[in-house]
Amino acid sequence: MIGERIYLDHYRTTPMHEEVYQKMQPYFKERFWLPAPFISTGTEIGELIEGAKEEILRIFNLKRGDVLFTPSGTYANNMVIQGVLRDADLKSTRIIASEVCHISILNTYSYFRKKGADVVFLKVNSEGYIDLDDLKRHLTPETKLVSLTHVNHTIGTIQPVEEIIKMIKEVNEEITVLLDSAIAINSIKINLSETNADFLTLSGHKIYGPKGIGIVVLKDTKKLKPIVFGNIDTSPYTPGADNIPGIVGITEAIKIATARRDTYVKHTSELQAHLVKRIEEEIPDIMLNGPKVGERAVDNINYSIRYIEGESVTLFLDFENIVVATGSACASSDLKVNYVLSAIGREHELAHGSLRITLGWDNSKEEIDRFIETLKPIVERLRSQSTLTKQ
Amino acid sequence: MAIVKYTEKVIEHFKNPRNVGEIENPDGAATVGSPACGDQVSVFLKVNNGKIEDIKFLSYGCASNIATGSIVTEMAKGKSIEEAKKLTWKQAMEELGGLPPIKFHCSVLAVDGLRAAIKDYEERKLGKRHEETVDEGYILQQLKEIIYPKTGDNIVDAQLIKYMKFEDGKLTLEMAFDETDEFKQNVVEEIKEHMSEIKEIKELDIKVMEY
Repeated sequence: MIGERIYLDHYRTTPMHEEVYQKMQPYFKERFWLPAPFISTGTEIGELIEGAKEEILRIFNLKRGDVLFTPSGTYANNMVIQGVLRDADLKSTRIIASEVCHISILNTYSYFRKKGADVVFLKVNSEGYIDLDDLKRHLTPETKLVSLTHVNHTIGTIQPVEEIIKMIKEVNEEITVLLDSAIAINSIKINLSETNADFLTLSGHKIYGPKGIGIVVLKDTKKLKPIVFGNIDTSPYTPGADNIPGIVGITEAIKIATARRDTYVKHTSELQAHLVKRIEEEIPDIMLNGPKVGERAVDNINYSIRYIEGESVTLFLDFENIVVATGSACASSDLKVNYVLSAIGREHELAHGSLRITLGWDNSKEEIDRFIETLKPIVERLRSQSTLTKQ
Repeated sequence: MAIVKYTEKVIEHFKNPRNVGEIENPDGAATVGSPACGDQVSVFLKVNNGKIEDIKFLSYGCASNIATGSIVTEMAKGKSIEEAKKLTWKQAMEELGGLPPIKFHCSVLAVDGLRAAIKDYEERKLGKRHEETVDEGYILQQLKEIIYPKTGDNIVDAQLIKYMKFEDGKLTLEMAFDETDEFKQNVVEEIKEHMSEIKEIKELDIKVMEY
């Protein structure tokens, strides 16, 4: 419970951990400095950033490498994709992603398609998994970059990234791999010595850290060209004043996510099992979107509720202080139906009636019960006034 | 993106919609929209002495869809058929205290539902026949029913259509959008949906240019 609210939209954003908040505080006012050589204020912040980078590299089991701090996860993905392709001859460049990747990857790829690159969006099956053989067939000598979204942000599909990246590197070690683990990191351990991605991207606010900060973890900078230019304080890839509180915050959030991961998985998977049991007992004519529980991410559930539209449901829940998300086109800012649900073959009607419930540290079993008890009459009521009914 | 929010009156009608349900043996009834487009409205009429004595609606759709169904039926109830025909979606929307441009099409749909139900009444009960000559002028009128969600204008007045030709059952449209326009796909889908209802259009070719 956050205040009066039952918050079930943790894939959108998470509340900040108190420890993270406290760690950030000194760097807004008292220790407001930026890194600089020789002078004590500058070297203090310089050492702080270096320490943060070392901490992050250690967590991902990298002996050497670098960490870039970006304004968000979206910027992190852009920095990698645009940076890798900056000097490429796009006419002879293939880049691959799946059609259910995060929108920051898809839209950046679409931009490069317009610029002349050969862009492949891999199809996924009805549970959102890409097909390894299909990917293998698409790996041509022109393939420069493969981008993977680790855990799907809509339906919680976990791509077997270790296996996928191993296969890619066996075909051609030169192919660059971007792994977007923004959602995954809360529940899945990532060891970059084993998971052989060239770039890993994360976002602060998805892991109980601050907004306005994301990171790129990389093994070496050989493959990357800068796409932003200006005054270089810490890295030629991220010129301009660094977001020091953000750097402190995201580093602390990664540390906590790593230290408490087992407890997190236990907590959210129990809630997930309870939610699925209750919703299937109480609400008829619903369909689970994504893999079954046990295979999907522990903190994600997505159901299509037949014969009704999702925005109406989310609003009625909002009146009762319950926050969930929907894939309905009516609730989106561009009136497009959710592309992930379309990609797994859900008809528009089912996508419109979808609810995404994403769990977090602050949720309890009692909240799940209250959510179900609130949802049930809302669904009954909207169904009673709908043009669509069970045939 | 601007802040998109419903007025209190929209919320009130969404929470407590008037005239929800069906009428048995209606004098006129129609269903417009489609589940694929995300919203559908059915309107049922009971007409007595040329007056709408009772009106009910059903809605598969978002809050604004339900709220406009509620307000439109409330506005039409007790009116003569001729008065009800003159109801516009702008009046319905004003009555609700306004809607975000992205939701204008929902209020159009509710009024379309009312008009279609009246048409059904006239055809069934009065034996009237509605025959239209499908030419470019008619098609343009139909295109004007489609709202550009960004501004709330119709797509013709929003100058999205740069060229139009209707010949031998083939409709060709050329449209221009800004590169960053997030509603491109939605507008094209809406055109396809609307044009598919005109049986004289056998083939539709929409060319989309970006600038």
